[in-house]
Amino acid sequence: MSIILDKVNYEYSKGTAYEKKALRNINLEIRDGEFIGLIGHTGSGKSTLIQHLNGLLRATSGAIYYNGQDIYDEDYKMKDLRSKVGLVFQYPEHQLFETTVLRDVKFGPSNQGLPALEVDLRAYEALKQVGIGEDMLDLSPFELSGGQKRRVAIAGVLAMKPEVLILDEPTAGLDPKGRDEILDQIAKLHQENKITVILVSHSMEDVAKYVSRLIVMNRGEAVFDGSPKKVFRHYKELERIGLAAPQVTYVMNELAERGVMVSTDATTVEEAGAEILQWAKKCGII
Amino acid sequence: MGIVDTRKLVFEYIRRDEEGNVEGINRAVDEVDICVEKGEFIAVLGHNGSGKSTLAKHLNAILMPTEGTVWVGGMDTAEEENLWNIRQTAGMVFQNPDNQIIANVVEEDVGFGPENIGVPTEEIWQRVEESLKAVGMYEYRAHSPNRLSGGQKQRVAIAGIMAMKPECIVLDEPTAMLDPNGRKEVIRTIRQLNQQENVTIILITHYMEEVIHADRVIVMDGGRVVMQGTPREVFSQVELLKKYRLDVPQVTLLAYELKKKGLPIRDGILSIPEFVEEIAKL
Repeated sequence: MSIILDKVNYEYSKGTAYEKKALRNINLEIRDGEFIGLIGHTGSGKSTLIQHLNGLLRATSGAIYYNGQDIYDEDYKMKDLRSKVGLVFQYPEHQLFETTVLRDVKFGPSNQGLPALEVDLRAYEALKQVGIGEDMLDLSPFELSGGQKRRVAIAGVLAMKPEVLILDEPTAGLDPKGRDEILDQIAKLHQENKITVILVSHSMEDVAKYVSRLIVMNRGEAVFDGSPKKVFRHYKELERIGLAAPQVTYVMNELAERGVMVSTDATTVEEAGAEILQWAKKCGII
Repeated sequence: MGIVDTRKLVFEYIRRDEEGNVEGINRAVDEVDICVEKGEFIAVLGHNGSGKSTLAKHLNAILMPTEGTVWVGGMDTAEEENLWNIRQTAGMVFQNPDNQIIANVVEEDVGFGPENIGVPTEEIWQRVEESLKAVGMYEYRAHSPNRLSGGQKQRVAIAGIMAMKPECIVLDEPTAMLDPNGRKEVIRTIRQLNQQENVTIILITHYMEEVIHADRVIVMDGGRVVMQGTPREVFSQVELLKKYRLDVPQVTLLAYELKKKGLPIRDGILSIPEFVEEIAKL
């Protein structure tokens, strides 16, 4: 099962002076259980793209198939799609509104019309998945730290049991440890629950560490699509469109230029370290 | 006395329950002594909730100390008659550029501050021009801020502060909401203001790469200053930083890991050229 985008185009304010093509001829297949990174500078079309995936925006032309069904079919139930494709917006903690953590997380599933017991079970499970302890369930969400609030907001989406989880910059504004905690939890969810994850990020270091497939957007087009290693080989082109590669990729490229015989493929600190150690051993330095 | 001094600065806020009874007292800033000299570039690091933003808000008198004293340009922030002068001496830039821009045209936005403090019209325009040139946004002076990128908006916000001719700018995570290009633009602008206009910079950030050009790094944890030194000194202590929920730049971590594995390279490597130099020497 998968999400297929077939020649999707989206134009803002068509027919006015502000007409703008936000998506151009997007063809993608997102397969079950993938962990995808979506990068691109501000205004490249990332957010527009993810809003198509759960039907918040409707393509100007082209088709989107969710598990083989055309989501623009007249009798297709958009509401089902929205509970299957969970979208966590930027700064999701701004959307917390209930009086307690537990009630906030229960809001989504109760709206789906599930029985009360099921709603409770799902809320407890979702909060556990994001690492919010039972001692916090009755607190006001506004008493929590920034990182905790954000995890509660993510739990609110998880409680709807989505098959696909899309997160728009889930780590913006968090400290390094908080960033790692959230991303580790998302990676764990992906592994244990086998859900498809799409991570929108401005951090090349983070996508290099976590995702297995990277899609790069520029001016409404998907310009690169492949493993992080393959995509970051094009670091010079990425720079031209306002992006970059992880710092270690530059390190390896500069080393190679200086005549140090290392492969330039590393995108994480671990890979770079292993590669340099191997070189050092070969040269008899250690 | 420096441009910014704090002596045993304490800030506490009281948590109350629904009936208004005191539930507890949070000490967000705990006996902080810092001294920032004119023209310095200071970076403040610390995890969410470590007290760095609370500290920053004391530096232009948005918050008043519970105990201790803060002097900005020699003025005590607790004395109300100093308020306007303090805010002119130390300007502040916040995280979200959209919350800081109020006018429909870039140059009007930049002119808002000086107009508010009664600068003569002629001089306002002169200041607007100088400030926009200083942040590299002069060609956008007649644009609508709406159509600018995040990095450009943040530079307009900085120009708005520059037009007040401050001696010191405090920036509270100015790049947190920007993409890599926007981040580079803003950091480049900040460094230029520091080097060319001799503006004192106090930069609060979570991005370790933005800190390496600072003269001094201050690390906060639990409301206290727990580490202080040059970027090289601070980033040499990888384990300690991790304990404070922080990080080091990737290249610093890479050098540290390789050294642990036995490669003879020095401590506290901060930049790619330094690293490449060390490895090429082997």
